[in-house]
Amino acid sequence: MGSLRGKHFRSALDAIESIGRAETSSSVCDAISDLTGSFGYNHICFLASSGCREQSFDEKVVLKLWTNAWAEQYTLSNYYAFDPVAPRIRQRPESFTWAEICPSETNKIAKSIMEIAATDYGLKHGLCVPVHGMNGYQAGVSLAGREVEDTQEARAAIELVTMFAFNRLTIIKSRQPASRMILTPREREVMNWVAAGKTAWATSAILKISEDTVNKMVSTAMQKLNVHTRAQAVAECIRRGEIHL
Amino acid sequence: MIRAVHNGNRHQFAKILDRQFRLRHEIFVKDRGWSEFEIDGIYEKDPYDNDSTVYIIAVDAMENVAGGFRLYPTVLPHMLADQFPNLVDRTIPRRSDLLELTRFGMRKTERRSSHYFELLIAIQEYGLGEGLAGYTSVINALRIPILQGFGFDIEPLGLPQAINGETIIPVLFHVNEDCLSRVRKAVNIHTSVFESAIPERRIA
Repeated sequence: MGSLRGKHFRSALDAIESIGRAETSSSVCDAISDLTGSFGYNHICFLASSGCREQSFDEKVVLKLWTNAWAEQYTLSNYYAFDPVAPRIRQRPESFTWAEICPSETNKIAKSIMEIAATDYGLKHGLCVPVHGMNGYQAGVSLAGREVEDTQEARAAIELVTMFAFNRLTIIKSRQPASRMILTPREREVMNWVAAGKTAWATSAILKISEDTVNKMVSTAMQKLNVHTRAQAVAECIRRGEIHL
Repeated sequence: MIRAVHNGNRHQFAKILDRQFRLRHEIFVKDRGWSEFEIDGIYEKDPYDNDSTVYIIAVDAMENVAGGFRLYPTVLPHMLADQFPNLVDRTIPRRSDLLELTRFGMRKTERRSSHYFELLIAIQEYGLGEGLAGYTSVINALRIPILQGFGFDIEPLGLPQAINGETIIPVLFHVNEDCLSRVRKAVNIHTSVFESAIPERRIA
């Protein structure tokens, strides 16, 4: 089968096979970025929903291969709030190129983000492949490059491999022991005092930090633990061995 | 509960078979607008409904049909080989241990019901009981993550293609004990979904 489709199908199958054998998330990442790289997308960013809408962009990004400079500017300038690409990944399961969701003339901030990406960082062409599972938006891959292969076949291959990559990542993640520590030492310290029944004010006095900082840390801990109340946070911390009473 | 209806027991289960054809008309001709499959306004049927077809049907205690799917031998002329050969980017699988799965549909009110979950289990349970290696099928590509989430092991037979506004892809669903356990775990059903042992199939 000399056609482009046959060729790209075989590349997709090879990537899927590597993914199937992968035991770590970075091997999955290597397999998919090899494929997308072959189409000119040399920047890749994996996004994963953990069900918490208020999380900062940084925490949502699972595996990051953007240029560090772009990632820094993105975070510092809070582009996430205005980037037209980000919400679209959550809303619809179909893949889209940046060209397809070009912001209107009136949305100047969104337009300038796209322009900065292109001219300053070589992120000229972008493709996003969302992955929507049983419970809606689950994950997505955001790809970019200066010169890319813009064919139907390349896009189809990327869409296909993305689905298998996320399935494998989910399987690998589910095999990891739940006792992996996810709180920072400071967050753990604060949660210890919450568990001991101390108010935010009392904790701030004990640790000699502001009450605001204490509340913020508890909030962040709750997001990381994927819970909705402080009581649940305490229970989850104990279960995971983050704190001990 | 799931019933496997075929040439050997079609008279015994004539009522649910009739209801299944009527439901297919509702789902595929009326709801999905496949007007080219309109024949008599009552049933939806095509040339792959014959003595070699097996119907896996989800029924309730009153023998109402909630949904189901159709299985057909890949060693005979079948849909993927005859109607959609251009979707497949490798040799079309034709083996006695592979059946083609088509017309998977649920009544609108039963979409995420226990009947749906039982049908998912039935795919694996029936396959294991019959010694199948898997099923070929043409599906909406966006369903792949959902089915993988339920524990299915899916092998692509071609790249996804946009046809009539939908992105579809030919796939092979593997059948094995590991898949069955994963699906059981995902839908939390740990008993057989068939009423009794699957009846012996008389060779057509």
